[in-house]
Amino acid sequence: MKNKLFWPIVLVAVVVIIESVLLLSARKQSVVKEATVVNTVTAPVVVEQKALDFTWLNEAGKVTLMMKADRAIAVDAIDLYVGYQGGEVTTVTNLGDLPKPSFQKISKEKSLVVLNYLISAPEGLKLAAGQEIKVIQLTGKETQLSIDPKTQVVENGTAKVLPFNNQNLVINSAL
Amino acid sequence: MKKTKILLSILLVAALVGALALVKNNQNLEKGASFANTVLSVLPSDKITKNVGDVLTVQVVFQTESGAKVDGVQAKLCYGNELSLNTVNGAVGNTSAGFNSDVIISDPIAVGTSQTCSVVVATSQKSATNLTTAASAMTVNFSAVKAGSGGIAIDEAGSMVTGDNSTSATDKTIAITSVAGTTYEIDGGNVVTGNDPILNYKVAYANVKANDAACVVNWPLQVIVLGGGESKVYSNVIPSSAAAMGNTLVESGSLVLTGFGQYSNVAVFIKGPKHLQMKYAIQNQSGPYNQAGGELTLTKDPATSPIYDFTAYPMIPGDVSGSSDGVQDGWIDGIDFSYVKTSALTHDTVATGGYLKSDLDGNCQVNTNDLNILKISLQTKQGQLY
Repeated sequence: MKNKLFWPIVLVAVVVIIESVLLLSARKQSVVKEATVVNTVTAPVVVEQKALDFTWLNEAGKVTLMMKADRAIAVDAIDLYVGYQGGEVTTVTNLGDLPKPSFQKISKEKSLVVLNYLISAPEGLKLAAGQEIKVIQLTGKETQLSIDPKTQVVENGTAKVLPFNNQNLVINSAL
Repeated sequence: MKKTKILLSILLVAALVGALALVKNNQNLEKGASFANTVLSVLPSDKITKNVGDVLTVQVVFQTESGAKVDGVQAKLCYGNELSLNTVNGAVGNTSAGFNSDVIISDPIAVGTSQTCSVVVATSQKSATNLTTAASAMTVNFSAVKAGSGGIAIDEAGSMVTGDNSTSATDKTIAITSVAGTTYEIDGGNVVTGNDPILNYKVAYANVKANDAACVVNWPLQVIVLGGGESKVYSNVIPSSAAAMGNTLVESGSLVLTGFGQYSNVAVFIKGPKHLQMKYAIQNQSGPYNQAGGELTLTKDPATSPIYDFTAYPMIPGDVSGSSDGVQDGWIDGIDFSYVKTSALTHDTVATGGYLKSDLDGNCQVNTNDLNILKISLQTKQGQLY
């Protein structure tokens, strides 16, 4: 009985040790990678039949949130929640492609930048397929920006939420 | 000559006396007193039985005797102090019989200590083809506020009916030949005999103006009470009365908290049909109560249980839709804005007393004012949350 179990146990133990070594080394590598990359775009969260994309543009020391339509859409409202972790967002500037938001605030308590765009024009904000607009510009330091799950883009006429892709942005220095 | 003067003097004196006599008499100077007859009655005629807190609904019905079509009914209704009538939205015209104008309701007129009269007037702006000879002119919604019994009578002298007279543009009066009222009995129900706490409350809806709220009629509330680790939900709670306090429409009621056993440190959550749920925890609350629990005290007796006034912190309108196909989600956001906007673009309208989910100010039409109200609500709530 003892002889029969000896080698299987040894085999399982060796497999567990190898797996542990592999996992630990992989984790160590990713930490090093994050620490060295200034602007990292994480893998996009894929949503089926997406209608638009939120992307970050980081150039000339300024971070701009872009919104691009994947197909022709008309938008009645955008409830935009940008989360930030680790550092802080100091200013948010509404860029001219959207009307002035009905509500705008940097909530330090909840680490969120909140903007509610309500578009009164009967036909909403029309975007052609492939059209890209600038939404907001942020300044801050050493933080990770992400589109919070509460964000929603509402379609004109149907009052339905349009699915979208989004990306995160890591800022390792002050903007 | 002298005889002639005497005769003339006598004639003049006689004419003067005759003139004075005529002036003293009440003369009917109308071309015709009436051109038709009608019966005016309150239905149902059978005794109506309700509980305190219920809405007691009656119809004011006419039936002309000579085929005359009715375009206006003024009824002076007299009733006991078991009932009250909301002067803002207590009556609704019967649009199917042509009574499409807002019903006018006078301030209550006290008659002695136990009777009140209210004059209600329903009129039509429709052509004769849309009028009828027998129908309900209006629905009157009394609130049962006190146990007891009595009658709802029509005071014939204070009532009037007019109609379309094809033979005269001026003679429109239809004579009321008889009137008939009804009787009622209001049970105290749980209020008198129950062992449950009573919540006496006054609430208001933000951005609803008392003088332009013809469609704020029987808006149902959801009331949740919480205290001592116990909670209870009461749905479709209809306030028993409404009154204008300045420009604010104040709705009030007395809710028997059946099955709820807490009498102190109670918090109340009240939600209107198109409103966010509001937490009320103190008397005369004027803003958010950002603490756990509440400080309300209740008793079993509606007469001694405090009347909590929450009107200084009115219910915030705007929760009309949600992400799952129009189901309200407890938030005010872009989905609600888009939902209201769609209705506002087509100016969706209902008759007095009707209901439109997007009609946030209760004026029977969805328009840009409702969109502005929604924006205000969103700003208010986001400001509280963030």
